[in-house]
Amino acid sequence: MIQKGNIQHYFVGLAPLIFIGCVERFTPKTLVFENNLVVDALLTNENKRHMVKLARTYRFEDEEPILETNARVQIKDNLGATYEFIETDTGTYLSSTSFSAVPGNSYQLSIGTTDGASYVSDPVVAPNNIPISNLSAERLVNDFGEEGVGILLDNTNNSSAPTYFRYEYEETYKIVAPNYDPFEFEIIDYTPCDGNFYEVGIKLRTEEQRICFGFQKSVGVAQATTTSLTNNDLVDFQIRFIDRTNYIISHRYSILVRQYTQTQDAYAYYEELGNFSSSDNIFSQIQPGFLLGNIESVNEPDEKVLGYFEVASVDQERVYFNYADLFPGEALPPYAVNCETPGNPLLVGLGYHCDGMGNCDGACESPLIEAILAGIVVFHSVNENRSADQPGPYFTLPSPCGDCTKLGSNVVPDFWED
Amino acid sequence: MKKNYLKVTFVLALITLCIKQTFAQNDSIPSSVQQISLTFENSTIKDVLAQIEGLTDYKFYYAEAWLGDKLVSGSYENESVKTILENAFDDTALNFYILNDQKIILTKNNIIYDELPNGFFNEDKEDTSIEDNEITNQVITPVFYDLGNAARPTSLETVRIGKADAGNNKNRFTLQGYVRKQNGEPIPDLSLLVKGKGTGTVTDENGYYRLELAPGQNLIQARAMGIQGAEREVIIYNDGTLDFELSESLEMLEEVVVQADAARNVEEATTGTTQIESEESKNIPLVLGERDILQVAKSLPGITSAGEGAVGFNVRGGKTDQNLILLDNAVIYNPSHFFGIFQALNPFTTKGVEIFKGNIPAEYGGRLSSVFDIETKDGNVEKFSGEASIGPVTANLALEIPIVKEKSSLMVGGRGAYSDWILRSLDEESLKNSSASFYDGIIKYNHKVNERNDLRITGYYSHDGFSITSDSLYNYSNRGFSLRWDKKFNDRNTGSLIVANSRYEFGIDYDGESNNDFNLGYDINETGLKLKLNYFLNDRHTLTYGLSGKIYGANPGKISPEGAESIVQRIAIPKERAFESGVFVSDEFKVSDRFLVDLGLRYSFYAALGESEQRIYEAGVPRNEGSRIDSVQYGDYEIIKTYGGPEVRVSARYFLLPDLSLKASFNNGYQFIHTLSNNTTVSPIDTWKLSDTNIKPQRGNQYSLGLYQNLKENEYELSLEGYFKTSKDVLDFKTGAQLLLNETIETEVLQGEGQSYGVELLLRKNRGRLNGWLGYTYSRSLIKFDSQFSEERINNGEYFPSNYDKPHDISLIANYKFTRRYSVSANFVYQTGRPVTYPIGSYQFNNAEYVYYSNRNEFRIPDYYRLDLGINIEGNHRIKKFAHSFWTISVYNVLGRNNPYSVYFVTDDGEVKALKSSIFAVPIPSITYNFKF
Repeated sequence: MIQKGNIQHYFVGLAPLIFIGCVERFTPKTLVFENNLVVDALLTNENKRHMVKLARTYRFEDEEPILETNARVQIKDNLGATYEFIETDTGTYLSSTSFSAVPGNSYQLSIGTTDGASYVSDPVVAPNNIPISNLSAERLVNDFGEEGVGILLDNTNNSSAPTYFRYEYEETYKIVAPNYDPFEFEIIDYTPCDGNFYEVGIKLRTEEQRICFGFQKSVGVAQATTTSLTNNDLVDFQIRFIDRTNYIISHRYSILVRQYTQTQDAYAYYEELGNFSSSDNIFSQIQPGFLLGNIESVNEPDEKVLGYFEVASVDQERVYFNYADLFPGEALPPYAVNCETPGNPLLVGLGYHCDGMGNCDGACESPLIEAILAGIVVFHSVNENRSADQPGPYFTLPSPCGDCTKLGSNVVPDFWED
Repeated sequence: MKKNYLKVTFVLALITLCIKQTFAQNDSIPSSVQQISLTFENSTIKDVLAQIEGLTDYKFYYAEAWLGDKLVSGSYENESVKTILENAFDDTALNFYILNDQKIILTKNNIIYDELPNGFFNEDKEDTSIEDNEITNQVITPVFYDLGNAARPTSLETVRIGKADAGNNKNRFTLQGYVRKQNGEPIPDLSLLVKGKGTGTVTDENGYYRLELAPGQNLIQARAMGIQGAEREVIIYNDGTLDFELSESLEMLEEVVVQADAARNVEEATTGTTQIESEESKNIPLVLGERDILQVAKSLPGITSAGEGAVGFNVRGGKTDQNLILLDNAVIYNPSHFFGIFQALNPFTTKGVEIFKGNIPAEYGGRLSSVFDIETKDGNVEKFSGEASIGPVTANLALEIPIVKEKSSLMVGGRGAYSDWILRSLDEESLKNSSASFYDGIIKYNHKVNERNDLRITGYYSHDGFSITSDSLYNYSNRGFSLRWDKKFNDRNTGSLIVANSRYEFGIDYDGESNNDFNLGYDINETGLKLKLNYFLNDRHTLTYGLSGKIYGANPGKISPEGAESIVQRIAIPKERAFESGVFVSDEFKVSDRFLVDLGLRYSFYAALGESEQRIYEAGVPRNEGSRIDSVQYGDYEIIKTYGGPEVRVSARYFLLPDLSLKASFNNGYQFIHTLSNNTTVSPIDTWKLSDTNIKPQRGNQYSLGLYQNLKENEYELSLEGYFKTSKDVLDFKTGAQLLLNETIETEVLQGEGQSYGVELLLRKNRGRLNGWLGYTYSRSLIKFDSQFSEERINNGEYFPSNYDKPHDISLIANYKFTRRYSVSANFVYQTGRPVTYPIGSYQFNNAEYVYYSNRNEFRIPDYYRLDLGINIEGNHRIKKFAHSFWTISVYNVLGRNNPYSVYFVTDDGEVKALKSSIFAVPIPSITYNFKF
């Protein structure tokens, strides 16, 4: 129940004062590498095509994993049913039919890879579903003394057995471009280095770029258990804390919380995964080691298989709030980017000159047009008094100031309620 | 700036003054000598001197105490004062020096030489023509026992014997006398050793001894079982007598930084012992100017820790839980503050620590690797005195209050850190909620009941509190109490009865936003009784025997809700109880002058006691919840399981040469109590677990062999010691074990084997302007956890390096005295980087990136090195001055080396970040002011 968080930052913060300790980031090198299978499989009580992702471990020097393709994936239940999976995208396998895990039944995942190896999970009994009874957004001061909004969850469990949960969420929030202008730049003539003059004009916007919707998924592991509680209900469990200086709560915000009721074993696996990948204080580290999941190789019992086959029951709940309701009359959080100081890029680069058609030298790209093409600036105003200090024809702003599509989508989500 | 400049000038002026003073005496040449007529009959020397003063312009300078009550007679006619004095001072230890026509300075023992001796600037002149080269050199050389201190008034620390006789060229003088207790009783069978000379003697039944000494400086050490050891620096000028009265307070030599006396090193049979005196560690620069004998211990071979911020000691490759740390005989579970950075001992009340890392005497048991026997000073029974210091981290005060004059005294010490106050006063929002504070206090009462009975009572408490966020407060504390009654039955039998109680506890108070506020606690308590008797059978046998027993009570963890709204369930892991005891006997047997054997035998017995539920697991399958087949209930104090066995503690010394000895030892032991920690380094919230049906005691064996030599009149001490240790049933844990509040801890525990070996080389210079030591250790510490089940194996069941395996370790501690008041010191450490578990790759899971680990401790962090420098300024020693002050200015980690402490990987926002932490990455200056009154 003790939430793991950014504790290490604070401890380190304390350290310099008394002990001048420090934590530095470094680029790790792979010293010894093992190529192992990674299984990311989740089966829930939802009636849908369930997904299993297969990949390999990878070196620190590599950005992305190599995906495991052409594998044979199936789930069997204790009643004899077999659900086959088909590869719909490289490394991503979907069940060929929709089905749901029934609480009380047990399920077993088996995988055969193209190199002839086969893997099988422990049979996992699908846990009962515990519904979310309440999800709310409240203005509060968190444990670190920061003010903001806490997303708090209650659930009710009618059984006496302790329950285990992990949480994921998706947040959707309204973004209003603070310096929206009905006009946008239009590039009239621009062929770099051709000797012709460059020309930039403005035109009316055709797309919705003032109001958009941002979207973010949770990363990492948030967990809760009722093992140490007197009753098996969670009350005011904080799923998410949004600092009041975060622009995402500026207007209207919505969060969808998915609660996975886990098995005890799955809970322990996720918890340990969290312990190994976070640090509570710089003086003592938890002894890391290989995190044993519930999948093993049939032929090579000592082969390491990473990942987990989780069978969980899902409940989800959505809540909305407006900034004005929680912080009435108070200033909005600062916007995602600084829109205070307009820029004045040159149309033609300094030192660029031509002495005939196509015979130019110097940097011939137009700073203004290149920035427009790269999508990093938007129109702010026309420079009426061009001077040696401000020779550019237009004033510009970082593009998110006038164009919200840089931060979100201008399509109103289906579920959105205003 | 101006201020600093002034200070420097002041210091320079002082140095100049000192030099001038020194030379003033040596430069003057006596002028003509007056002749007088004088008669006296059975007069005291004082009267004679007064008469001379009346007849001449001379004025005598002396201390009345030197003159004694000897009566002299004589009649002189026109005789020089010189002759009269020579005759009058015959048979006394007095010498005199006629400074000029007005002044005659009397000295005790010393002749004031008015010119430097031949060969003074080149002591080893090749053309010295007298035989007996080595010693003769000293005969013709006047005894300059400490050049830097030539102008110093007679110091109590040194005893001068005989009167220098210009015509004396003997190369051996005889020193004889009696050794008595403070009450006058003789001490028989006490060994008196001449440090570094390989000579010594034993007192007879009347406490009488006789020793042959080389002229000049000799360090005589007195040691006997049950008697506080003592040493005297004896400067011998001629044959003489010296009686020892063994008091409780050691008179240490100023020159020696850390006193692990050299002759003992060569002489005693026990291998691997070290002594560190708290007072003498004050010159060693340490972090933030805090005096710390435990940090000093880590600079000696064989004692290390996992890193700068790691709690505990790893002695000769042993785990941190294998050290028995005693403060006045009470066990201290965590003798450090703030993650091991500061010692939890008051440096002013602490006399010193004796560390047994090789052969552990039979009287101690229950820990495999070492015994740290920390002793508190006895309070001053004469007068009220105290000591205080102010440093950047702590303020410290110790008072010695006589209760009954010359009988009893109370010592009170208190120390506190004010870092909390600093943190709060800082204008930094994120730190407002942090806190880190500690304090410790000690009180000791010593009472000399009568000639045969001594009583000492000590109470100790230390507390640490720190918080990282505003919602959680961590704290831990140690409590210790002991009562020791020393009794002398007769000349041959002495004994001590010790009652001790200790408690260690920690807690976490969590007060967050949700309904899960809690209060978590752990504590362990032990109460023990020990009876130790000494029997001095004869010159060859000294027996020590006795028995000890203790009761443990541990509350392995409880959590309770805090506040009315909290729905945290109250959980308390049932209390554990156990009884541990031992009977021991040892005989220090002097087989011959060269061969000394210390034969020790101990039988340790342990019983885990109810009330308890013991779970029984199916044999032949991995131990987990699934393999549990039964559980058995035991009633209150019902014996659940017993363990025990004989322990052998044997060591022997053989003199190859008078100053070169060879020692060997073997010992084994049992340890019934273990720490549970799944951290790579020890953390203050590690719990101690008592052995039970499912968790067996740890066992260990150690073999050691060493060569010890003292060189150049004890100035240098050289030792080379090798050891090999094996251990069984040492604890480790399955990956990701949950240790706190786990009732079935045995399902997480692995018990395996340990093996460590090493060679320790130590060169120490004990005297002179430059003193200190250089140590080098090569050692390995390996552990192995094998099982037929993969989940109970670590690194495929093969030996792998422990977290504190640091093969190469070099440490240098040096102190150079410019004058009596100014000295500089340096401390250099180099160690191989400690092993770490490093990931072997990354993978993606649940939309985030993680690293994964395979074999434990396959890699090492970069090597560690650090240099600290300090300047020590002693206040002047004027007797009348109210307080004696001492300044320490030091810089820790002068090179600013960013020594990695740990390397770890976190997943933050779905992305792996590799992080490297260090504790003291930049030079840390500090200034500490100490004063004594």
